[in-house]
Amino acid sequence: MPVLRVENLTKKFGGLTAVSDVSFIVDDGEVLGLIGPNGAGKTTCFNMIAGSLPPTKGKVHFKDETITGLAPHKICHKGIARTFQIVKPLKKLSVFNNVLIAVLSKIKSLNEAEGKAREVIAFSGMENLADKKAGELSTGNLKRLELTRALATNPSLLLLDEPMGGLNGQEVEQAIQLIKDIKETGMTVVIIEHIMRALMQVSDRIVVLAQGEKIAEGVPGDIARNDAVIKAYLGEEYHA
Amino acid sequence: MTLNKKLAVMAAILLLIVLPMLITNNYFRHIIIIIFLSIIFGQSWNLLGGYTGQVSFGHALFFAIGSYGTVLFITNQSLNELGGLFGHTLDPILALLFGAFCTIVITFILGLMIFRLRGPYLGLGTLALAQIGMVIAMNWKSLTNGGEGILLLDVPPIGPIELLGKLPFYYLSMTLMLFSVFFVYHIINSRMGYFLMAIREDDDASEAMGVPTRKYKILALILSAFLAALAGGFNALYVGFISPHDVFALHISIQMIFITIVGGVGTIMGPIVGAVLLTILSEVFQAYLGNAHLLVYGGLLVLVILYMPEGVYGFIKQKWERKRMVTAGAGITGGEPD
Repeated sequence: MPVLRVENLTKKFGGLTAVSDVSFIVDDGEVLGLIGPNGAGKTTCFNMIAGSLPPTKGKVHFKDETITGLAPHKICHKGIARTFQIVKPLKKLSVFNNVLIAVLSKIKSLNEAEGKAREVIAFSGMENLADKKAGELSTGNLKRLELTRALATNPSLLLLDEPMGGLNGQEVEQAIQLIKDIKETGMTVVIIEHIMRALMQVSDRIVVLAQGEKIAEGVPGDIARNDAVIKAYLGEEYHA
Repeated sequence: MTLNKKLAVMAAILLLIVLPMLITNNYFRHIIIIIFLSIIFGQSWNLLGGYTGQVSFGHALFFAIGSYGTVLFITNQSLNELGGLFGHTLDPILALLFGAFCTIVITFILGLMIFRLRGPYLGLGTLALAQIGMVIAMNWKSLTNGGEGILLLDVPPIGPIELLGKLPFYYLSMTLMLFSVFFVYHIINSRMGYFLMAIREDDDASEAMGVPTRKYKILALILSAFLAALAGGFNALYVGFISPHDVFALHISIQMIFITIVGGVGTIMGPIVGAVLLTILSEVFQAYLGNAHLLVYGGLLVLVILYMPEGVYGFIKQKWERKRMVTAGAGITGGEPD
């Protein structure tokens, strides 16, 4: 059963069509990779699903509902959480409070929320950083906090926008493990990522966008051999 | 709050209660009343500007609506009949609440519109609203008596207590001041407080985490305006005269910002420290420097903002914590053999 159904999603900024007629589905418990060269419209797709941008045309269905055009906080309450490619930490607050606020949006009692926040922080392995101010974290830990905060809203669908961008080799390995752990819990994930090695490891299926259009869809092995994908990434002259 | 802090707060409140027995000079009592009023100013502005990050340059608007509501409750016959419900024994209190109520209603409507603006544009928007308010008050003569203002000839008593001399006003302002401090403290330590700080740090991230940012911004504005309105109502009862140029004045909005910034933005103690410092300095400079007092006062503000960006309270707290860390660290290394 599909958790997320995106139908003919289109976004125009003036004369520029950033996303054009993109449709795909995400099944329950699946990790779907969303890839494409810079400017392909991946993040714009995310913004339309999460409610930060209203689509020009098209619909987003989540479970049994149409959620197109709802405010981001309402979509979060339906069970979709997202991370930002450019991290948005609450800088002056501690890591713990960053996570606590995400928990509080769904749990009203402070005591209960504190317990839950501690749980989520332990799950993502940030216990020793809990008291640190978010503004003092390294890039790797900021990305991890971004993911932890999304998890803390207790979503059934997680949208990850480049969770490994700017990480070093060891941090990438940790991130891969974390995403595998998340998958184990049965959560559905859509992930945008440029590090192919990582993406191939975690995704069940991959959707490829180029210049706003969907050009391919399939299991990782097929996508790596797909002519249209190779052409989109490397240009015509490298196309065998 | 730790036990020590609770004891300190209780001691401070006791001290405030007995203070008028020690200070019988009317001028000094007046200064303390102004300090109390300034603390309410600071707590009000800090809730919206300091904790929620929504900077307002027009808080005088809420102060003014509160003061007009309060005065009209007493002077307007049909409104005053409402006081008859309590046999007119609580009229000044009801007047304050009526002023606050008017402010809440108007602020709710303004809040629905004003938060389409963000950052500096929000500041300019609030500034404009206060100016519009003044123009309305100047011209709506049937209600406000225009630029001539309204004189409160006699303030009705609260039960057996006549509001005459400094003493009743001292205790009234003290009560309102303590209320404002605990009010903000309570909000900040609740679920709502976390949401407000999240909004201050990042609007988009808060939304993505499920915080309804618009709703909480409007709520913060209303609660902040409510405190400003109480200050306005008290001021009207205390001074006994209001006019558009007095209560909508830009310097009132600016005063609220300075108290908070000089004391320490986004802390409960900040506005208290700011109110004490600024009120006393302003009085001292006026007494000794005559017409040059604004020059020195302004210069001092510039220095504080340049060299103590966290405010005086933030600065002292930082120094103190660093010192404590250094002495704690020295204790450990000192115990080790060379």
